[in-house]
Amino acid sequence: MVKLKSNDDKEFEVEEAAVIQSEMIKNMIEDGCATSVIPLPNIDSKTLIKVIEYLNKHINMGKAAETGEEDDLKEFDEQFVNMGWEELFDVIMAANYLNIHELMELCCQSAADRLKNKSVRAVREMLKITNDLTEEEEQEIINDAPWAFEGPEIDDTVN
Amino acid sequence: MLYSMPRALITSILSVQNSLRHSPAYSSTPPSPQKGTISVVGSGRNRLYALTNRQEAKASPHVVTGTLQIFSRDVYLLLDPGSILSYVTPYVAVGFGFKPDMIAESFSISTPMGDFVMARRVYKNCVVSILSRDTVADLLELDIVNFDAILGMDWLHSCYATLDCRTQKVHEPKVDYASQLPDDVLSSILARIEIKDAVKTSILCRRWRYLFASMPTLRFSHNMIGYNYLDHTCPPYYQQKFWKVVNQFFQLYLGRKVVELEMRIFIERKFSSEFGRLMHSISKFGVERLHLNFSCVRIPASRYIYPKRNRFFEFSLELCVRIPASRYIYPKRNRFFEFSLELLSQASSLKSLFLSVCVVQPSVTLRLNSLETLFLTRVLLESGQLEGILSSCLNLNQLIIKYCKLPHKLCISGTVKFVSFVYSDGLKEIDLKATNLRGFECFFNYKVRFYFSSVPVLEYVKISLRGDASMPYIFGEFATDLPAQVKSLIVTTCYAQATHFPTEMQIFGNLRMLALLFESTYDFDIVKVCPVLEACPVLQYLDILILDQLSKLCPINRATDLGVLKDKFETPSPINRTNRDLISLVHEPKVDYASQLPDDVLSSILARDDGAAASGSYLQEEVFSLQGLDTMIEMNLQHATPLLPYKIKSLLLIRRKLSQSG
Repeated sequence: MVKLKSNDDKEFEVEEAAVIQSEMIKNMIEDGCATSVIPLPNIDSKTLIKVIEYLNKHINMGKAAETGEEDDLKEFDEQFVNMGWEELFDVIMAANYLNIHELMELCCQSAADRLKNKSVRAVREMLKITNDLTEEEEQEIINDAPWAFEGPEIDDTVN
Repeated sequence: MLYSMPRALITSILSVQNSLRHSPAYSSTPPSPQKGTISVVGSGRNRLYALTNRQEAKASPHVVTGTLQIFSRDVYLLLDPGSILSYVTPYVAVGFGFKPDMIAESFSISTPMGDFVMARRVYKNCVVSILSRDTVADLLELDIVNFDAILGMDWLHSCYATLDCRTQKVHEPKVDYASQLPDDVLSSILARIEIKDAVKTSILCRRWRYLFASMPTLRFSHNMIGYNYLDHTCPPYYQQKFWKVVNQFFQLYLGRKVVELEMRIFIERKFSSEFGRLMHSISKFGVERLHLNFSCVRIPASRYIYPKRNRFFEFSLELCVRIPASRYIYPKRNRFFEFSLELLSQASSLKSLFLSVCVVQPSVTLRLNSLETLFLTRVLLESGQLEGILSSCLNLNQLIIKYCKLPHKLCISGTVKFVSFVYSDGLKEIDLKATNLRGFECFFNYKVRFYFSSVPVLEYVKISLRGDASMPYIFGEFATDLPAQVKSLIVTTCYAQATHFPTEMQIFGNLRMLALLFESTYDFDIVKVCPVLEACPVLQYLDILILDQLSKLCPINRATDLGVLKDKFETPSPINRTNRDLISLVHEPKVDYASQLPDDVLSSILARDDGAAASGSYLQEEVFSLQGLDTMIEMNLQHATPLLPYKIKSLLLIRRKLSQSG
């Protein structure tokens, strides 16, 4: 068992087999730096719970692929990424920090899927981006790559 | 502490409020300060804001009421920017489930009635949910008549909410979600969407302007120029436009490293100079994986791009189950783009090359040191061309040839370790002359002749040849020629081929694993497999897989047949020296075959303990190769066993015992 501590001082016990999916922690364990609690100053407990849920489910990923559990795992993944943008980005940050490749892939792909075919307005709305470009700058961007702004905007819905 | 806020500060906030209320913007409908929600009390004690009742709230343009959730309980509340602090009635607060803190210095709060109420207790960190976001507020306990709670300026401030006085709505706090993510993460997200959409994000805001310009993966396709037809070719106008757009893109592109580059568009030969320029940029960016598809149709190759672990032998068995229904239509031969390998002479970091729908021109002088995987789909190969390509690749590991037009005779040479042929046309003879070749698999719709000229380390062979003549060939001449060190062989038969299953066959010298896959073969009598047992003297594992949709509708009980086969398998024959270990029968993918077997048969199989046992495995269509089975078992040893159905678990454990003892 490996103990992880979130930035709001909550401790979690995770099986070593699960936690070594994180390259960072794997390296720490190999270097013998994981004898006591591993503090994770960049991750809050809410996100860490999510990440641990993923790690525990994917503990047997390699074998699952061979045994027909793959569908089950796929379903789990689909459910797992079914979260708000803010949470998704938190998990991405955590996965990036802990260096969990598969989780990173999963979440980035989910983020990308949500951005697919979206209109500029919809993306701004979804990600809460404030447009700080002047009209001249916007025009300049369009002139640089006119082809990208051609054609009808496909999806204007926000979700 | 907020609750013992100096009077001067409170007054200053109030005066700001007052000045706002009397600013020109409000002058058209000046509210009456006495009748509104706010009454200012400035005397010797700490005094705060007054309350209001529901009628006034509706009438007043400066307040917003609504139902929000505090600790997941619906409460009717007032959002009052005029109030500095937030309040909750004791009746609601009782349900919070924790005790309030006492305030060091109690407040006196004035009401519109002109009297004062004292606030002495505060509930800290109450979770207020607004628009499914959780925020936190410190709520003072106060006896309010018409509302359950009042959220004041402190809450609005702490969660960045803004109040729209005109529509009387609270706007969700405007926090840029992506702001916390580093640029490289955002770029890698962008790399997963269509290049057009990715470039479009440059107009979102200043930070996003050049994010797209460091994407690690670039996918150029005809979609980015607005040509969305699923046709092989596209008109010259669009081809011209494609190159223009690619050029414009590269002018903006600042990426230091592109790991993967994909191009999917029909190109005529006259655009070869533009194409040459693109190839030049590939060496500049240090591309590792290059996909070039010279048609507008997507080639379903993604499955093969990153073979995981030891999966090489799994992937194409799936293909032999599902034959592509529609034959691909090739463009006319002279319209094929001629791809000269010479263009890759500078691509020193290229590891994988995927070529589709083109003619490949080998180069005598070219040396590709880094290339490990070569994947050709629907490529026209003429005599000598593949040999030329192979001689340029000094470190090739995998060669996959799929749906290609091939010459009559091919010779596989060089350093390649795994070779796979999938439904290609034209080939009659293959000569294997690769000293590092470990695995070889092929799927042809007709009989192909094999020569094993020089394959000293070949161990795994998977063969699927259609046609009536193929079965006798495989169990005859092929068996004779198969090098002695080959350990595992997978043979696929389908449809009527099974009726040509030979009754006499050549000896497979060293074969220890044999898998027979009967595909779309409904009522094959498994007893017919018996001659195989005599032909394989040292066989340890025999897997028989029968795949048929029909058996799902009308299951056949094969228990008796299996019993016969089992007896046969275990009876020592003159040349049978070793223990015969396993029969596994996977009846129907996705159906637990064991469910079709009576329990006593199964348990009698399981009861055998001395190394001669039969095994069945519940496998998915994609994963039923021997190699896959082995990996699976290996993996299962450690962790996966609890995930498996009980019966199967036992079977697998038996197999483990065997492999340990052996």
